[in-house]
Amino acid sequence: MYLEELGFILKRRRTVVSFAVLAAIPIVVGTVLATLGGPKAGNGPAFIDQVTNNGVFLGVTSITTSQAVVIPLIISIVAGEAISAEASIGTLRYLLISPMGRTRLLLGKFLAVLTYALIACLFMVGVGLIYGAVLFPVGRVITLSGTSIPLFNGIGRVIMLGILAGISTFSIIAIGLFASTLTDSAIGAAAVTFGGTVIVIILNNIPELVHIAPLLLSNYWASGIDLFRSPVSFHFIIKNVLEQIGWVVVFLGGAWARFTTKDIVS
Amino acid sequence: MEYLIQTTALTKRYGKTLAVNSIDLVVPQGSIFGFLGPNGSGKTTTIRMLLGLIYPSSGEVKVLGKSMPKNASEVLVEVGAVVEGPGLYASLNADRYLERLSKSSARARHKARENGILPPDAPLVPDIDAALARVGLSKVRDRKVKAYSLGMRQRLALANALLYPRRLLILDEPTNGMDPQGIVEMRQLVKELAANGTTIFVSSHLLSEIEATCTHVAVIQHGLLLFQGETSQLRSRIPPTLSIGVDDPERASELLATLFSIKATLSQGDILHVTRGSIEIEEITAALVTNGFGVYRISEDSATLEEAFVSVTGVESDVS
Repeated sequence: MYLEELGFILKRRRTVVSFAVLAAIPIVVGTVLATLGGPKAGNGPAFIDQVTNNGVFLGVTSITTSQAVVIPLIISIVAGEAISAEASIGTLRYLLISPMGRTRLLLGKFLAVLTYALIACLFMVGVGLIYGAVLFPVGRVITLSGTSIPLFNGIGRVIMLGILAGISTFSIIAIGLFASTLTDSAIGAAAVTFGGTVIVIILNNIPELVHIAPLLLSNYWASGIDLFRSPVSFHFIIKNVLEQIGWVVVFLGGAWARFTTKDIVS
Repeated sequence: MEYLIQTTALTKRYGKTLAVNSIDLVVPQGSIFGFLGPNGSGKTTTIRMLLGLIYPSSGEVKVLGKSMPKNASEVLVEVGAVVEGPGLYASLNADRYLERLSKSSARARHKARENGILPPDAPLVPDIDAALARVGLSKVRDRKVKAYSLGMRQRLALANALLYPRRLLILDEPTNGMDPQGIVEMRQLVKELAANGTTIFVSSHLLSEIEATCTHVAVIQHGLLLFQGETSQLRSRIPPTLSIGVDDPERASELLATLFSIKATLSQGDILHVTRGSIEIEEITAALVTNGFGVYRISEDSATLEEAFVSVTGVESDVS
């Protein structure tokens, strides 16, 4: 089911469109920077000031600029339609009576969307790295700690950043899947998921809410940049992973409880 | 006799509405079982409970002798079903559609074979070619499903039900949207499958469908099972009608009323229609002839299933 499902998601036309959007971000940002030059040091999104010196950072900037909107949006759509789209076109009943257990179906879908998220983020990073290398010089990577590390080590860390960005969406995927079991409307489920994520991000930016911030799913999203310290600081990266796992447990559990007891009337 | 479907006091309640009200359905092995009822009568809810898609509020469902939905994956590997029309991925062609649905069942089939539920030589990979040929879609198999007509989609859903050899087929309104040619083919296919030993449970609101093919029939209305039994039993609920062509039918009618106290009705062609009860046809004929009537036609017609159906459900046809 997992492989069938993953293939099914990847071959859809909207996936191609989503990937075009993901590719457009490094291409647009890179082209602008190459044409107009980068901002002064310390201005703009993280690492954008470094791109013109070292193309490797185009991959990094793509992720840091997309993490709050574009990536959650693309993931919300795929997660939100996982069950609801099958329900609305009437295929859910045929999948279940084929037969396939409800828990298996749910897990297959969940794992497929997780994989999709990782592929999407790595794809974006990959386009950023390649396009960055085409437009700008590449070389040893200067870390946030001021030291420099070899190029291949730097590229490895950019790829790790992509993987972490994918992991950061796991909570969104679980929420989306849960929403997907509540309705037959794929757009509705996606909208609720994306809207909910944006609200959480907004709450996360309100200083007065600092005490509940560690519970918010986006709180440690920025931890990926700790990969560019020397040595790498894993403290917040681990917290981010735990945060994601926590939300997955809650919402995947909710999705399971709902889906395995639901009357399939679609 | 073995029953492939057996429900006991099966009930489904939605809030205050009783969609299915304590029905005891028994479908004998080898039957073509017609499940008849007006729109909104509880047919589809019942079928979905048989397949484990809807959970009963109370009561029990056994399919192939096993409890549903608990044993769904063991039971359903031997059951093919079309439920409320086709559910299709518009952008897939017929081949890919069937492949996707068969892949989802691969694990259940594998396990069923290991556990001896399916015979050791039961196919794990479906014969998509054969299934498509069987429903007459071989020529359009590469076309995307969104280009299919409703009848073609219905055929594709049926092909999915026939991907593997099945002990039981559950078909919910399978001829919906089909052209007359398709309906005839469908009927033929159902008979063929039944001849090969598949038990078929088919729902319809079209009496003609049931009448043409079914050995058994159940009638459901407002969630209540009003009748179940052999099709001939349903028909015999209404006594046959004797049609008599006679000169001077009005006087003949009076004579029959005096002699046998049976009431005759007169149809437009001056034909008398009587329900003779236990009186022999010979007696009636003899009485008419000896009293000087010329009898030029006499025939007995059993009730149509439609008349029998109306006798069970009443004439109202409101969607409930």
